[in-house]
Amino acid sequence: MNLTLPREVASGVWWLGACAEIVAGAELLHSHNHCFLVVGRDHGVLIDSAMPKAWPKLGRDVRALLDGRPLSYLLPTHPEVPHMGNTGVLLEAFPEAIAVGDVRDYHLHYPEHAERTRRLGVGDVLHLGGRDVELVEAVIHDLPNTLWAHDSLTQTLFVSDAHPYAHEHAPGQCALRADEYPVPPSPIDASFVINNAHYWSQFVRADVILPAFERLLDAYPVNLVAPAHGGVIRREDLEAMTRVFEGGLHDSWTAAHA
Amino acid sequence: MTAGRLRMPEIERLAADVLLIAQPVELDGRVSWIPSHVRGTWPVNRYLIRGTGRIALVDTGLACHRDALLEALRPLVADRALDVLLTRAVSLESVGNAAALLDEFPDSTVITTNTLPTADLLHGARRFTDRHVAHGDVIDFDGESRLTFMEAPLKTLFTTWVFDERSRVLFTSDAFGFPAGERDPRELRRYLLARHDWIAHADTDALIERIDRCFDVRDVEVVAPATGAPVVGRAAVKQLREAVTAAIAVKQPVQAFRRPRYASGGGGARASAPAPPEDRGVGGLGTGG
Repeated sequence: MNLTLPREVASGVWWLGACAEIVAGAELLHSHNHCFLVVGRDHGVLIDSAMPKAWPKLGRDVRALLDGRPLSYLLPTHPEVPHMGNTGVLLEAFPEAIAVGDVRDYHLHYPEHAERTRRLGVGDVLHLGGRDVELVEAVIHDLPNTLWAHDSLTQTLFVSDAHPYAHEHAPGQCALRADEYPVPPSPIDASFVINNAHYWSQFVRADVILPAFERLLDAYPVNLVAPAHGGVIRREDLEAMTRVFEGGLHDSWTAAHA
Repeated sequence: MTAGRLRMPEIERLAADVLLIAQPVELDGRVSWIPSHVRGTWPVNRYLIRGTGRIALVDTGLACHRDALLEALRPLVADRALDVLLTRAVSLESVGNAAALLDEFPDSTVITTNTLPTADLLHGARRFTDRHVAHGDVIDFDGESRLTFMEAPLKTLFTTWVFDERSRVLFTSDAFGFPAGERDPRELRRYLLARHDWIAHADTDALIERIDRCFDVRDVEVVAPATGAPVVGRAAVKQLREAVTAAIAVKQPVQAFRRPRYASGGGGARASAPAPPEDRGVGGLGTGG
């Protein structure tokens, strides 16, 4: 299977971005670095915006996928370059857009666009026309000012730094869902991102964190999980992929306490 | 910053060849890494390590400070070669002015422990050398000192601490940034949790041991955080360490986490509520409930 981004993973939910290429010893690893465009009848929202490396293709892709509708909202899940590295250029390219979410700090990073931010919190909803995107508590995160999101129409949960994994370089692999990989991701694949993004996992046990994720799944109907640093996950594969993530977190704790 | 007139940074000598370049941000509830009830201003720091032929800038700071920073740096860099040392390359507190600096001082060297190419994190083609070092590496600086790179024991994101052997300054990036003179563990804990909310759920013995290991093997005379007050002098550093250790070890019941809801009708600052026992943000890792 050979797929490229952007890829429509559910009706009006587009998977975009670019993998980071990392030399790890003799290996060339790809670390997923994704963002997602949700297009409603009247408005579009871009959830995260990937690293500057993804520009200018990202801008061209977003414009094409909107097909004349406005990009009304940028929703950076948190202020870390791989998640919001194109915020400034997007605000310039799409003058109708505003940045929403927990946008504390953005007036310091983009002073020229400070008036185009609107602070929203958990439970706030973006009405896109025919679908709503609700802001959700980020029960797993690196930076405290992280928010997740949930699309009402396709029941997609956008989880930012949760459920990450890296993969070895192979043509066409970057746009594969977790279930489409020739070899299923393992806790070792998850460890690369966990070691870099989730340092806390050396001191906080996985069983303290993951129950909050389970409760979130009880509260929101979920058909798809869309991580920024992993392939998109179908509901039927979520239990297995959560165990992969848990395994990576557990390995991190164990290594720190050896 | 007022139109037409730059508010220039405060520049202070911290050690023989280390300068602090500090610029303030206003605390109005819109700065995520400070407890939300705190008001006033807060210093954002860059540091210059000066050699004879080279000069190293530790972190590039926030974009809102760009013009004044560049103006202050021009005479300080003068004809030296510039090294831009990133302690936290994926954070805009560290890399926020890197593109502008690399335009102003082309052919500089970016020194980073991050495995990502720095060019992937910046907009526009820049002319610079990307030097990747690893945690544990010790590099020569201008033949006059040695810089040790270590994994930060207290951090969010991929972060490095750097120790300058000549000046005995420990650059602590996003950690150890507190108000000047504040040593009350309960107050320090509010600042810790605003940045590192995971501490509320952590095995604190293991964390304290990790921090101790960094300090115990070095004779640290200055703690130099990316924001907050630097701490100068062995006795002051020891006092700070003890207070931070006590703050990390404070036993408090973990609050069931609920993020505050904000009205959707406007941007910018909002009046904040008084600080709860554990400042907001303890949580995403929270037990929910």
